[in-house]
Amino acid sequence: MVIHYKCQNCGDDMVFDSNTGMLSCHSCGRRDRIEDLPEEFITARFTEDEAKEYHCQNCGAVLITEKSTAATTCSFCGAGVVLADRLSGDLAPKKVIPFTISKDEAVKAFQKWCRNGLLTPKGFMTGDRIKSITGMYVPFWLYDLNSRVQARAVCTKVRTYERGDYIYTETHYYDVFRDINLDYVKVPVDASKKMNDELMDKLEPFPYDRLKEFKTPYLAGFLAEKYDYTDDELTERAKGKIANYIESYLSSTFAGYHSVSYQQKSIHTNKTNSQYVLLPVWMLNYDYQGKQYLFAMNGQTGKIVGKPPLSSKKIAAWFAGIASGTFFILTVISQLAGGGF
Amino acid sequence: MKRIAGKKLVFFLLFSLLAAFPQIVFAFPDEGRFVFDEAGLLTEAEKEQLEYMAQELGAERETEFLILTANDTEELDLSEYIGKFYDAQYGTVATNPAGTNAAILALDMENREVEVAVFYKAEEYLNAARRGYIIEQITPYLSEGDFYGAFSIYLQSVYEFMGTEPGESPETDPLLPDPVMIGQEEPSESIFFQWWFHVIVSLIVAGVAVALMAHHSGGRVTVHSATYLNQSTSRILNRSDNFIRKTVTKRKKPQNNSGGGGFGGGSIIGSGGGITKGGHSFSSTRGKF
Repeated sequence: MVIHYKCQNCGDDMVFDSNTGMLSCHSCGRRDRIEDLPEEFITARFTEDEAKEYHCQNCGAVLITEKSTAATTCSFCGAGVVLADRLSGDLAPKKVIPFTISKDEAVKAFQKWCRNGLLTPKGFMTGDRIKSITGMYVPFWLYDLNSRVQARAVCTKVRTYERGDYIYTETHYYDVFRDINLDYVKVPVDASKKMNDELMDKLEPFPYDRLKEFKTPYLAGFLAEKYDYTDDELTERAKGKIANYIESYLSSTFAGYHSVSYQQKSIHTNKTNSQYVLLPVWMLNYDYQGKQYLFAMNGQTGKIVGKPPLSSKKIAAWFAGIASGTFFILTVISQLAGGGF
Repeated sequence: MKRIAGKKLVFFLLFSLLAAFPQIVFAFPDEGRFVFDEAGLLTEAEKEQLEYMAQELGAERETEFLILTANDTEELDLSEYIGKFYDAQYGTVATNPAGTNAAILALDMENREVEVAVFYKAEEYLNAARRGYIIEQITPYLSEGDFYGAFSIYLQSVYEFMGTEPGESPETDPLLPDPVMIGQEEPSESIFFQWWFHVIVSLIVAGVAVALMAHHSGGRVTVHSATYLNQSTSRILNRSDNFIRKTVTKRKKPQNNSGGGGFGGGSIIGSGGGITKGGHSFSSTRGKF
């Protein structure tokens, strides 16, 4: 099942406009509120195998898609199409954060970011070598996790004081017990095989107050993926993401003690809820000196991640500058401090 | 600093020469006029050298440069002992109303104490800071038992100091070294003041800073432990903090060895002044060796 949005006025293709948050027509300027559009397809159930070949509703050409693609543009006529059966039933996303950064804004923001890079080579910052930029809805699972933490530890408080010719060190030992309930909500884990996990983790946080009920028109004109991993398959990764948070919360409850040695510690984490959402990401391919660099930008906040090339010249300059500056400051300080003796 | 070091070198060479060949003496001074070695620390030849130096240098500065050693101060304090010696040597106020310029170095071998006492004109030139400096300089020689070396440096130093008025304060005294420079010459000086330590720290700081910059060039993680935490339901359900026991250990306070004096060597006991039984006022500085 392929959905294609045609303008009711002029018949041209309609796409999602990130500035207004509405479905808009480039030809006549018509705008439709997405909330008002019928949602007949979202509840329709299809099995994944039902349709193997998709035809563009606009020109009739065969749509070339990968197995995981849920929205794309027709490679012949350029119309934005949504493959509804890949977004329905079990595959139906609950919510979506629409793009608020348009393609032009993304390109500008990226060029600015490159210029501000302290260690990026000069040519990289000025060159305009963006090879491709793709707006993509990346499938994420948002997990709600509940952790029950119980810990018993022997803690010490140390006090020193002087009396006469002696220095006394007084150590108090305590038997400390903590029983903690921790709720983590909407921990995101990307569910697409294609996406680099490290890159996606760095894109966080996504503004959850912008989460909207999923409607297919949001996807018009963008690429979208469907999930490759189920929520159960990724639960462990979600637990791993919060493991450090739990540890730091636990140790914060021992504030005031000089030392803590755990006698027993149990952490049980359960998934209480998970929802399937699509989150907006601009993917940028950049060419520099024959090498490809991949960057990702949060389609809502504009945060950019990805490894830019590093200039050895700039690294050397920074290193020399900081080293000589520090040396100068240290020398001045020791001269001043030395003068007091 | 440079000035005193240069002159010191010349004198040092001269004294080494004299020490090596004590028998080649230029002229015999009046026997026992300046060096009173009651403790018997010097050989006859050394004594003659010192007598000669004290006479020559003292005459030029119109001041008596004396050296006094004692095994037994007759149960007198070292300052009182010096006062008594001065009165005996130059007379009381009654017989010598103008007083005699003098700088006396006295060793009390029983208590291993050294004192420099100064009278009249020497009181003005050899202030507490300069006396302290002299004691600091000679204490290592005294501790090693090189009395001839210590006395030579004493004579040379008082000669030097008597030639130039002291500044307003020890910091502005042209003949006293900059305290910081003394600190750098001390081998025990903290490594925080060593230039190579600064170099290492600078390189480490720069390395860490650049590594962080490179690491963060690809964007950094901006979520933290509170980002996904539901504050309203996350809390401590149960807690207990039970006192079990207490232990107390004690250790002796580390001894603080550095005394006054302001020159870091730490052998100065104190400075003061007094009046001899005969009525002459003087200033003195005492140290341990």
